[in-house]
Amino acid sequence: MAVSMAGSRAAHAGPLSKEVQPVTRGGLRFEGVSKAFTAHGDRAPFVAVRDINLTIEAGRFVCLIGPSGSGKSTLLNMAAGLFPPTAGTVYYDGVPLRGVNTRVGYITQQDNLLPWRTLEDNVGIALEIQKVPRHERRRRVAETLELVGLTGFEKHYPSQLSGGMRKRATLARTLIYSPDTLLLDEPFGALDAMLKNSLQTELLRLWERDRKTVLFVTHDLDEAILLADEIVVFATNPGRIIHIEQVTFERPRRLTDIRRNPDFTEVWERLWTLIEGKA
Amino acid sequence: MTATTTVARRESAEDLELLAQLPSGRRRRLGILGGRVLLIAGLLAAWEVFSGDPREPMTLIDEFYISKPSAMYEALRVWIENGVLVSNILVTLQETIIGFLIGAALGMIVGFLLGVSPVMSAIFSPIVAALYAIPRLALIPLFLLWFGLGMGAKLALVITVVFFLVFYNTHSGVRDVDQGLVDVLRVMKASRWHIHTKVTIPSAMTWIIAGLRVSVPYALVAAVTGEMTASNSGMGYLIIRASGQFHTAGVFAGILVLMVLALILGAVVAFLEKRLLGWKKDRLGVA
Repeated sequence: MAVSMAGSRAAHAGPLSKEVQPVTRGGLRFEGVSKAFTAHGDRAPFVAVRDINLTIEAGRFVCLIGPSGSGKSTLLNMAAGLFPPTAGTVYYDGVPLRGVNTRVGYITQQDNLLPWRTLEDNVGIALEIQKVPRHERRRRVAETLELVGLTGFEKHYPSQLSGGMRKRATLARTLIYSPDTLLLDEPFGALDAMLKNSLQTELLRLWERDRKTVLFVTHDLDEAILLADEIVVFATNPGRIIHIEQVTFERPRRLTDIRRNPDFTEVWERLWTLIEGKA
Repeated sequence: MTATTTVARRESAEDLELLAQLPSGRRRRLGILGGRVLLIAGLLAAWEVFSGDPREPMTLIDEFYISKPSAMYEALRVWIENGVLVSNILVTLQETIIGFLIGAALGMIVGFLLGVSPVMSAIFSPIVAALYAIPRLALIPLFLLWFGLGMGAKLALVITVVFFLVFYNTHSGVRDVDQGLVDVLRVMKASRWHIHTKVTIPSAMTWIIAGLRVSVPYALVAAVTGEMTASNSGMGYLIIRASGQFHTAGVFAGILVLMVLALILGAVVAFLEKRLLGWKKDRLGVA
């Protein structure tokens, strides 16, 4: 089964303030994408996703949800160009993706901060790679740290930061080079509920600001409904899309308000039945 | 992986007062130091008193077998006076250090190259494993044929010993690199060069340094072994010569000098390790 949602959406949800330019870059399209993995160690070869057709419009916040093993992360990794699909094509901005996609920011559940670098050197690493001069780098690192609320911790090593701060650090490290698209793979998966809530709020605030395209993998249904414009529901065996839900809560969103909204419960129950039924 | 929390805590005045009441541990440290001095002095004194001519009443063990501290001191004094000691220490140190540097460099280079290329690694691994299986000391006769009695044969021995230790550690370290770290950099447009210099090498550094550290004493052992087998200089030669002359005090003095050399080399390595892995110490400090 293949669900297609060739999109022709004229207006983005939410008002566009003066500073916010309509986003025209960072859209993604999966066309007949399948991915199989060869045997590795004692793991048998298997098909991770089969025949995925999905369009993600530039500037949209899209959540991928489903049980583990439904190929959400595989899809995300192909969007990052970390490995090619076995069949089908991934388009980025309408162009078939070849090799690593260097216009995206990629954040996973692991912080992947370099433990031997201080916070500022971790955050500035993309600029180092781009050979941005030192003083310019300093300025932008300071700016970005300010944005995520980590000013004052420049000289700390990752091991000296709390879990939430490390998460903010990965966000800063990604935002600093202004990728058009953010690929987030269960970024808040390992955090406690309170921390998770504050980081979700933070992420939404940053997203309202520059409206990047966001592809957000999660297994937390609450999180998906709170954050997304659109929820893509996956099922396993093989990994495939079974439903796409449009989420229409007004933006900017206040997470506490949405949780009390009767529509929230309704959407939640409907999607839950879908996921449960197919898990 | 647990979250560590050293997050910007500022102690209040009351807290500081409490902290000041904690025992400083200074007395304990002084006690330990005093204990050590007493222990060593006692052992040396017992050695001096109970070793000697078997006909003397206090003697428990014949001086011929274990010498005594005063005789060792005398032997060292003679060696220093006629310049034998310094020149032979220099020979041994040269073999150890030069051999170590060459062996370590080769080990790191080959370990890195095979580490980043799984295919090359698979092709070469049986050859490396076979060479590694050869008992290194069995190569001494070959090295003597090739390089003669001089420093060359000992250098070759030290290099082969150090090479494999550093090679295997570097190789494992490079292959142990977290793919997640590499992927994050790849989407940032990092070239292979960037990935190796910013991730692979620093990440493997812990392993590499562990390899370097364990191979320093082995380098010294290899140099001395080579000198003992066939040579006309070095601490190993000095010890063997003393033994051949039934000069027990000289043998002990030589061993003592080697012990001090090994301790000094170890201290140098520990110092360098601390400098290179500063971030690691911070991590351990809060864990």
